[in-house]
Amino acid sequence: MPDLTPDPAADARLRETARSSLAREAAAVDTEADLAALRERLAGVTSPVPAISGRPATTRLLAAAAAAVLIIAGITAIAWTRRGDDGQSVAPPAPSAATTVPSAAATPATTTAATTTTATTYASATTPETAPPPSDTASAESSTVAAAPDPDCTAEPLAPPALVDGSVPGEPAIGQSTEWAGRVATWGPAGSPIAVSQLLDAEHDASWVENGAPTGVHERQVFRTAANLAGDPATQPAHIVTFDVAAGCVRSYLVGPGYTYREADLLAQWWADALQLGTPWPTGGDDALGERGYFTSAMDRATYTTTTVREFAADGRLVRVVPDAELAAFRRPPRLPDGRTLSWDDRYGRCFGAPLVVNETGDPLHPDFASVSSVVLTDSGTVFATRDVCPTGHWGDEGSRSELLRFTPGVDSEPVILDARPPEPDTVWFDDGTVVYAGDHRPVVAASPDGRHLGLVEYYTTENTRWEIRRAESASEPIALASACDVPGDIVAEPVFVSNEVAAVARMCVDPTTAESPEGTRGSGTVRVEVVSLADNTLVWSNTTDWFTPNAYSSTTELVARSVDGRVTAIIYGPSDVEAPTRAVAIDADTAVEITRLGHDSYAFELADFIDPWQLSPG
Amino acid sequence: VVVVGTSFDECFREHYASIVAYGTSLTGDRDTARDLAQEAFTRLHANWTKIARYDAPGAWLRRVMANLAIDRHRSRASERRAVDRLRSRATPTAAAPRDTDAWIRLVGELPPRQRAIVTLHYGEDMAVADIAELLDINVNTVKSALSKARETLRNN
Repeated sequence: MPDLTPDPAADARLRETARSSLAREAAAVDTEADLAALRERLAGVTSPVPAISGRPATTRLLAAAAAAVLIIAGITAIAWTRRGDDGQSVAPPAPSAATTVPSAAATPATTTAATTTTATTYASATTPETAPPPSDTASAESSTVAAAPDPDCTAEPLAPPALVDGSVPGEPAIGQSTEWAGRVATWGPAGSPIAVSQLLDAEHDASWVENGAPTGVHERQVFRTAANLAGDPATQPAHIVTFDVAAGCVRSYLVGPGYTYREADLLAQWWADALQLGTPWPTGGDDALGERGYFTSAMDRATYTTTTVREFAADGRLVRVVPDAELAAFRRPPRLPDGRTLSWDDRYGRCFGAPLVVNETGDPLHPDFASVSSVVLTDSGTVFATRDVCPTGHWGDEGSRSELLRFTPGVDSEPVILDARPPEPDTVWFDDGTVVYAGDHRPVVAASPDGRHLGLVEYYTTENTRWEIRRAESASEPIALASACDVPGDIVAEPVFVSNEVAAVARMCVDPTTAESPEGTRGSGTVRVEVVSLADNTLVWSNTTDWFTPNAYSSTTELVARSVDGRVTAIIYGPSDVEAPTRAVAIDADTAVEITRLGHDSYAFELADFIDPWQLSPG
Repeated sequence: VVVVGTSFDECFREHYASIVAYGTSLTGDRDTARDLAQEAFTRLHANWTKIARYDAPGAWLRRVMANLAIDRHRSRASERRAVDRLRSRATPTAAAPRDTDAWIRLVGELPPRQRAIVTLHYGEDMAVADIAELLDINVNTVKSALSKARETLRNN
């Protein structure tokens, strides 16, 4: 627990130290010299920068340019001009022109097979001896050395750093645009949401940056935003403009439609990073994921159904798009060891359960399971379920209670009641005399393979959810799991039992100040992935990132985890708020790396994890 | 018609040195701070007709600097990861403190957002509410960050 005791003497020392440091640093600044430098920079940057070279290779990558690149992302009406259009053509070059020559190391060495070329080029461009200087200073310097404009700079396609899902662009398909009098180069499957198209023969109007409506500007790693969103998801394509300052060429790319403003902005930021680093980004989580990869699924945002599942290698390389037939193989009902299959229809509302049915007979698995409110089936064939017992049919009346049951067909003659809870009147959100919604419900959502530990969920307000782990043999109270947090808060994702004795949880580490705030009684803070040994309730490891945040609305996130040879790795993912793209982090005891794939909503280590078996139709 | 009470150059002369000092505290490196300050003033220039009317363009600049520093920190983290993946023996990509300034050493232990908050609080004597407004974050977030930062600083 942090020591929050006020310490005026320590604060005074800190204040004095800080002031002295800032005063010393300020005194060391040569303001006039830097003002002159800024004036020079402004002369180079704010003037439209011309093109200088043709650079004909069709497979040459944007990352090749050892130049600063300005990227503007927008989802808006797109303004560009056909080359030669006097009305909106790029302005003449800056007068202080001296030719910039991209470094040899940054120039692609080959134009053969796209995948190999990309890897080779990127690796070369990032080699320390040859990489472009990372400092932003390069941007300013490059912007002042542009030479004569090259009217052909957009005549040849230039592949983006990566497609939207991070995969290698490959060779483009060149076609005539149906919407404007120019050609279009397209990488990726035409019509696919991951595809990227470049408008060829177009000179982007540089004034669009200043006067148009870009959603964001990334100058290398920094950006400013001016949102202009046409629909959410956008009805117009995301428009990403790359501004190769050294080469003096502005290129326009289209992605989508269907991406939100913040997704487009994130993509533009990735491209800026990729162009600087000379590598697609984010490229993967090999450090955290070991050798095995992961799957992602994209969702139809209108129907909330899974559309495409992709498999990625641990290094972020797209392995394949999983055929529907392969995924369909997992769409089968839960099966008992004796071969019988089960179905159950999830319902919500106290005293309104659904029968856990044996499909082959159409009867409940047991009379006690004629109306259950949650159910989990372990690999060994033990069923855990919750049900409300309601003598009058109304939750809260005399005799009503919630039960947690365990039943192993073929072993137990009757279900065992592991826990029974009376109604908690204070938790009722809605009660019209018949239907009751209340926060004292504890559905069972997960179980360890041996059934000794259970994961339960608590919907403790209409918006807030937290999870807990209980021992089956002492199920009346949750386990106070070991944690590295100073102030352990809620478990904010469904726990994952990676083995009989080890569970992974996403734990909110509560900042004590927020815990005490009136608007956040449960507190806010950072989320840590914590792996706990259930045998002795000790922490195996705990790790986090400095940027991943739970959903701002629900304070929850999603977690998947696995254990390979005793090494537990996890992926934590989710949108930080209702409008944000889903971002994902691969995480283990020592490493946490972003593996986000834009447009993808779910992440899993196994295909089966995308399937909710209880949502399937019987049979 | 834009009514501008002070020229851009005057504004630069008034604020630039303190912005660089602030940036040095945020990044731990004077040269990086100068780069970021140049960027911040470039943006100020681009938006001068609007920001010149602000009561406190210095606050706007500090907000921009904080965002630039945080973005830079994130990108450098990804840069380090990329280099690691390539098994490179690259030179360090993160700027190391160039001197032994006690404050720079102290705040170097903090995440970027906390650096900005403690620098504004201790170095520029700003109140919690003012910091929250300047950085566009919740007051409790500022309190929380100050609490964490104090703990870290005390331990060091």
